[in-house]
Amino acid sequence: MYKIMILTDSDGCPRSFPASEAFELEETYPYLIREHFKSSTFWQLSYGDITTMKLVNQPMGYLTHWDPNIIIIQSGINDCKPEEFSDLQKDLKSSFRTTIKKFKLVFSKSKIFWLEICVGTRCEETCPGINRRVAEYNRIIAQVYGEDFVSVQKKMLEVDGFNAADHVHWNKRAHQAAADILIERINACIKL
Amino acid sequence: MEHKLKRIMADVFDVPVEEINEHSSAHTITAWDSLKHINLILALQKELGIRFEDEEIPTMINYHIILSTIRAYLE
Repeated sequence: MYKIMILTDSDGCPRSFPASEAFELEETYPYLIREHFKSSTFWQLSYGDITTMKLVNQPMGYLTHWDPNIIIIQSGINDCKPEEFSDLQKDLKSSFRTTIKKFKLVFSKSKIFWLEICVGTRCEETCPGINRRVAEYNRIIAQVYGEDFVSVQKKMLEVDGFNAADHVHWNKRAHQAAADILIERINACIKL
Repeated sequence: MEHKLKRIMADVFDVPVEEINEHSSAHTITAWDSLKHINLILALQKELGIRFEDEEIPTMINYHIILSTIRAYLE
């Protein structure tokens, strides 16, 4: 039996709009992972519109003694959304880097998988510069987490996984794809 | 770094440095109240040249988290 922590922004939650892409809690990747690893204990925090520091402050404040074996974290889009005012972005990026490094140090005994920040191809139309900022933040995550940085963007585009309304949130197809990727990663991890 | 942190904490909480260890926290050190917490943060910032984020200060309530925070800034 393993202890698995899942931390996400709103992408860990089900969506109810547009109606054509509504899906249920039971179709979200955290739920699908729970179903696969039924004998494990889970703690999940999914919080919409949250920055990474606010998100990780919760388990750092209350759950360090729980010592999770595995942590899955999906966060970063809300950190890199703000547009490019150069001084502000520099501070935000520096703060983001420090936060994710700190999280890795605090939970040094846990295997942490950090999902790639991703957006749909049309997101740039409504949020100019987002692709570049997402790439920069992903580089930071990859530098800190190395092989435990979980690439998902390519897969999400393959399965047409972005919500048709905002091109940011995942739809049901993306959640299934994410669950498949993460289950494989967790299985590889627990076999070691 | 660990020795420096232990010294600062010992100074702020007025305890022997030998009493500061990886299990030290606001629950194990009697003197660690909210005022001393602020004093600790200020001392760390001054001595280490770090400016902690306002949001993370309330979470720095044990030795492990404080040390991890400092390392994230300095390493």
